[in-house]
Amino acid sequence: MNAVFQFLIDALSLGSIYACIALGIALIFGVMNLVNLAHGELIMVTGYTLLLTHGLPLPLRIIIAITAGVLAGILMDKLAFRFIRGAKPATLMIVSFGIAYLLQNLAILFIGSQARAVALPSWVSARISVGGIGVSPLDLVTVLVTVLLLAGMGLVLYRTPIGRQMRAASEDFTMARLVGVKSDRVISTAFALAGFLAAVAGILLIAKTGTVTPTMGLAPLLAGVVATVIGGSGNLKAAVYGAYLFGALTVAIQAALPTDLVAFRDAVAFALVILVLIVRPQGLFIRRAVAERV
Amino acid sequence: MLKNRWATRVIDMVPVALFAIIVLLAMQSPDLQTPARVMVVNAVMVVGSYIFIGNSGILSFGHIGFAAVGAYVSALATMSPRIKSGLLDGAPAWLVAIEINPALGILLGGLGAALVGWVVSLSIMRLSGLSAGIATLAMLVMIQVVVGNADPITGGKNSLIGIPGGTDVYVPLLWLIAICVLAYVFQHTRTGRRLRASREDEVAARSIGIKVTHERRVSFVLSAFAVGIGGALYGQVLGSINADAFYFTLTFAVLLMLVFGGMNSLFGALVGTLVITVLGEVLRRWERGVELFGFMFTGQAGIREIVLGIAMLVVLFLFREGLTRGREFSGLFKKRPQAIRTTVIPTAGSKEKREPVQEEKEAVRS
Repeated sequence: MNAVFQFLIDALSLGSIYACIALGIALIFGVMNLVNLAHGELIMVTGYTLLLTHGLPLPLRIIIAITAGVLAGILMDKLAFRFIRGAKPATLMIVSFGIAYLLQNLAILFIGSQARAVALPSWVSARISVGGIGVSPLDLVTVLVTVLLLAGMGLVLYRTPIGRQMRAASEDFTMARLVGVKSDRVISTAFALAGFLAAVAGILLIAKTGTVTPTMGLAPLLAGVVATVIGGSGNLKAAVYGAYLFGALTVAIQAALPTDLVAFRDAVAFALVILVLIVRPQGLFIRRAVAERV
Repeated sequence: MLKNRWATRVIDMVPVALFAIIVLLAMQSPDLQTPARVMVVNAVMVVGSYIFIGNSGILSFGHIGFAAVGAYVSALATMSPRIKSGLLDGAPAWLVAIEINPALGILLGGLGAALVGWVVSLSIMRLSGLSAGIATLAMLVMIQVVVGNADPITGGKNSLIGIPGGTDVYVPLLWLIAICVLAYVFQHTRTGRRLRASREDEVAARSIGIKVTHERRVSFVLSAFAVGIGGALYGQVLGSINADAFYFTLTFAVLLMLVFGGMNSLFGALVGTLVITVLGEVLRRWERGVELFGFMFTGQAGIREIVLGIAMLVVLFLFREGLTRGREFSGLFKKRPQAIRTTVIPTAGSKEKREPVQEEKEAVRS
């Protein structure tokens, strides 16, 4: 019972963090056909902001860090992707790869390549007992915050004009433009929202690990991209489902593998990803196959 | 006016010859020898990646995984049993005992990578576009995790040292020339042409009966072989390898070179390798300090990566298809064929005005 409960909490909290990242990636992929490999660097920027603002009260630090994430997202679009609108997906992906490389090296140049510890209140790493079952408050906070956040995103995407425009744009960008959706505004908003989601996910991740490094965005990025692709690329709901599935899968593999094989966890996870892609290239949670039309 | 097909082919090989000459000239200067050798090895990996990426149009993030396979196969086959028994704890006896000629080791590395490529291609090549790119990324992570953790066979996170092989540049250079010829010949075979057709329009290519999956698979295995050779050469030139060397940093470096020059031509692959290596070397020296007119100029360490990153972005913003714009060397002397314009639907944020199509221009004139 205890083990099952622990598994559920672990899977939910990891899946929730992945969901925030995957939703951001799916938003950007939807509106501009870009797999943003610099998405992890939004997390990195948030992390370093959190590091550099130490000394300020925690709520203020969190607000500043999230603002930094949102700004980083918007600037990424304004300073880079704006110049190559409409390029082929492969070119866009390479550009995002270049941005990631550039930002990582800027972090190394100005702050250094070593891992830095982020000072956080002690309750973050504490464990409390709920009905005889030990849980960490951080996991509960993670699940609570992300579920609220995803619900909020759902409201924005399904109930506001800009959200509708964004969903329309991710269904068919050209058609959306023809009926009056402003492309730059939609893309900017998508980057801002992606930055916001990545920042929240980043803060929760740092609370878990306690450190920031220039390459800290890599692992979450991989998880987010994988979640998006196995869920169904371009579909926002599918990306979130994919993230929870991938989170649960990672935790399950970790628990199922014998100790001397735990190092191979990622290899097993990624082998399963390839398997999913081959069985259902359009994604697990997409009902009909959307073939490219001429 | 290059009507003659053979003249075109010979002219397209000129960059390969020029590249070799530049390398040989650089070898004359003692402090340029190491960068020149590394450049040749990089060129093998870039051209090897080009065989798949350039012809199929699918961006692969996994090719450095093949370099890892090639490097480890060749290193383990050529290292002396004495060193291996010291480094590898619990390795099978045959693996420790085996010791072959370094030249054969390179070939074995390439074949090992090709074998892995073939197995992977059975599954991954059924995908296209984005999914295929992500699947290759997954493959890179898998290879990295396995190599980095299979301690009895690869030594895990520790380096393999004492890899035999020459310090001369001729072996890598000969391999580079061979791989370039292979790449060039392949892109003019039926398979290569069919693959290039599918790169331009996959749906149209399928509709005229091209088995896209099969053509991709052939180029993927060839490309894995070439990159595996590159990995084997990497080990021999540097004398030691470790698992972390074959991960995202090298992937980025190789893709940077390929994209910088233009990923749709062999000429582009070579130009990109040369320009990025020279730029990187200049910046490296600047970081160490340069004396100019009696003053000492020192750049801060880490500037190199940043300048390279910015250079790549600027080149991509200016020329989306890289410096050579996807042309071979002979293409420089030809009139560029008029690009076929389909109905121009304004893409997101594009501000360019629609230019009149050729026929329209002529219609206006007449």
